Amino acid sequence: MNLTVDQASPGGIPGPEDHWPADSLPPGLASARMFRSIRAARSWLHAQGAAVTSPDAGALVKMKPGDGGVPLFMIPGAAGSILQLGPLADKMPEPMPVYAIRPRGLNGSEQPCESIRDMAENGIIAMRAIRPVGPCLLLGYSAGGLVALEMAQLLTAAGHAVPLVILIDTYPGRRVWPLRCHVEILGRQVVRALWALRRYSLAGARREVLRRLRSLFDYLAAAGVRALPSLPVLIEGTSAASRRIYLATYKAGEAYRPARYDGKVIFIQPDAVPNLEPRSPEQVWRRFLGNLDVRRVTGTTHSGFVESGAAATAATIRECLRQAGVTYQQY
Amino acid sequence: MLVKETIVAEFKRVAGEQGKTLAALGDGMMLLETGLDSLCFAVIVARLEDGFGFDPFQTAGDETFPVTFGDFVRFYEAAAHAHSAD
Repeated sequence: MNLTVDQASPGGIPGPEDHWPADSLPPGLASARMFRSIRAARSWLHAQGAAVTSPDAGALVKMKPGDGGVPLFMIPGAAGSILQLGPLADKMPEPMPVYAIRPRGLNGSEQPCESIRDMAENGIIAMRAIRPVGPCLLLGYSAGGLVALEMAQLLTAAGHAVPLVILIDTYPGRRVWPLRCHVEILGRQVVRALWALRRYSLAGARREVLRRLRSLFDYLAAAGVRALPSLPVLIEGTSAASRRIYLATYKAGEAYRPARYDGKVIFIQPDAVPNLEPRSPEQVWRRFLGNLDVRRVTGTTHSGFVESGAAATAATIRECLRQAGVTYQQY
Repeated sequence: MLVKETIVAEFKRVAGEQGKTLAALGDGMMLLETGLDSLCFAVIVARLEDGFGFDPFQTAGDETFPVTFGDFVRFYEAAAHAHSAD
């Protein structure tokens, strides 16, 4: 049996007869990512381990205790792993309580949310259980940033203060990116490809051109060119439940159309901008976010934000909090 | 206690605590198919560090990280050997 995410065993727990799903990240790579996250989260786990690994932990997990000041709520990336947020939580300002919001479906007995709005509402319910009133700070990593942004929309619409939203390398689906953003990315890729072709023999160059053309078609399909077939999703996650959440979040993110938000938002960008992302996140976000500030963190990559680059990322976040006038004494 | 026995005991203990159904731990069983999630593995690694006195993931290169249960046991056996030689 070739277990796909949608066919996973009831309860989300793979049984011994299940095999690694073919549409998922190769197991070697998935294992390596998991152990890198575990390694990066070591000091946080030693400090907070008993609380965060409690099987009784619900949708809201206390990542770091604080003194009751304005709390920071973190939303993990598409696979829903709070482990990857541990190194960041560990380095947040001492008095600030930090929580992570786990996506619905991780325990396997519930279906994952199917839209960013549902995920945001789910997050607010979890959050309000411990903070029924009062302001809060929101941080989302990768796809989790879309959920954080939607939560901010809902909270402010309901009259609650959200002094700051932090997006860590978060983008909406490429279909809503402006044309000039695609032109910039594709232009950069063409220059790279031409430069790279110098190294190849004639036969090798032909293969390389074909490979890059496939990559171009994939990009255009993701950007919404209807003449091209949609891309299969390479699913991430370390369990059947997390892979199911990853797929649901991916689809929800692709379908999400952000509404205009004028609250303060900080976008944290990696130093090494991924090939298929814009150099300037403002190009994508400008029409959705009225008060956006972009910070690039030296020496980081997309995954490095929450691994080797966690200290630098946390330092940037602390500085953003200070500049935004968000101090724990404020509340 | 042998390294493998300690590891098997820890897998069973964590699976029980977290309410997970643990698959049969053959050497070829992929770690990500054992029924445990990343948080379970984080607990296992932390407890094995407490028990053995070392954490091989702190010093190993990413390319050597285990994929199967057999890899995981060998990973710790090699680290135990190196640790005892120090």
